Amino acid sequence: MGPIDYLVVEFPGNRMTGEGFPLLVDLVDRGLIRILDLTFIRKDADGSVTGLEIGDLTGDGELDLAVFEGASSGLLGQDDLVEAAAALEPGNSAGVLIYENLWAAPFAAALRRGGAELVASGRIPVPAVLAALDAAETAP
Amino acid sequence: MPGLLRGVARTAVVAGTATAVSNRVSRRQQGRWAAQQGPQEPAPQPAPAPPAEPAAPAPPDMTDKIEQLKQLGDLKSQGLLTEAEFEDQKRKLLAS
Repeated sequence: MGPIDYLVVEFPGNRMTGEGFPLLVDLVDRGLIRILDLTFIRKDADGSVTGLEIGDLTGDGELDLAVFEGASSGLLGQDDLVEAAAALEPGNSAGVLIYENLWAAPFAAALRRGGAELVASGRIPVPAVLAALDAAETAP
Repeated sequence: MPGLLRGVARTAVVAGTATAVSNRVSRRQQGRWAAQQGPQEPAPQPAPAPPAEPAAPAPPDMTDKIEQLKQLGDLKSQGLLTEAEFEDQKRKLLAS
């Protein structure tokens, strides 16, 4: 199995254009990721967090999220949704996605077979990479 | 139920694109690694953006639209739709 990540994607003012969704489906269709859970939430002005049904999000007649019907697995509990909402501005909605990086699974399995072990991993912010590049380019 | 998400904090927004980073890194690499292809990023859309032209590949409903356009054309040629009505319907169909 590949490493599992999460994303919290905020839609300011609850405005979802849906532009990203077909690309997400494409990642699944191409076998790059597997969606383990996908839940939509709203953080109200008073800070309370509500789960949204897919059906609640299609009110404008433009955005069709029906493709994600059934993607929610219940893996994310209410505590998780509250935790995810910590990153949200009140009044906004978000999608919370848990996904497996399928593309990494064969590599990970091969490493394990060879006795290698993943001992650390993480994400490096782009500004940090820029700073490192600046330093490398000015090095004698 | 044990929680999965811990210590979620808002990520700082990165201004600009990371394309420059890729290019600068590539220049420091050699052999095949200097020519790694990333996905072509579409030009950033001003938000809120009007519905953008769909990028290739065409959406699966394109054939439906073409079929409906043909039907509209037939209705017009049979005199069941005025030129104005036809244009109006066509615009709606293409914008949908």
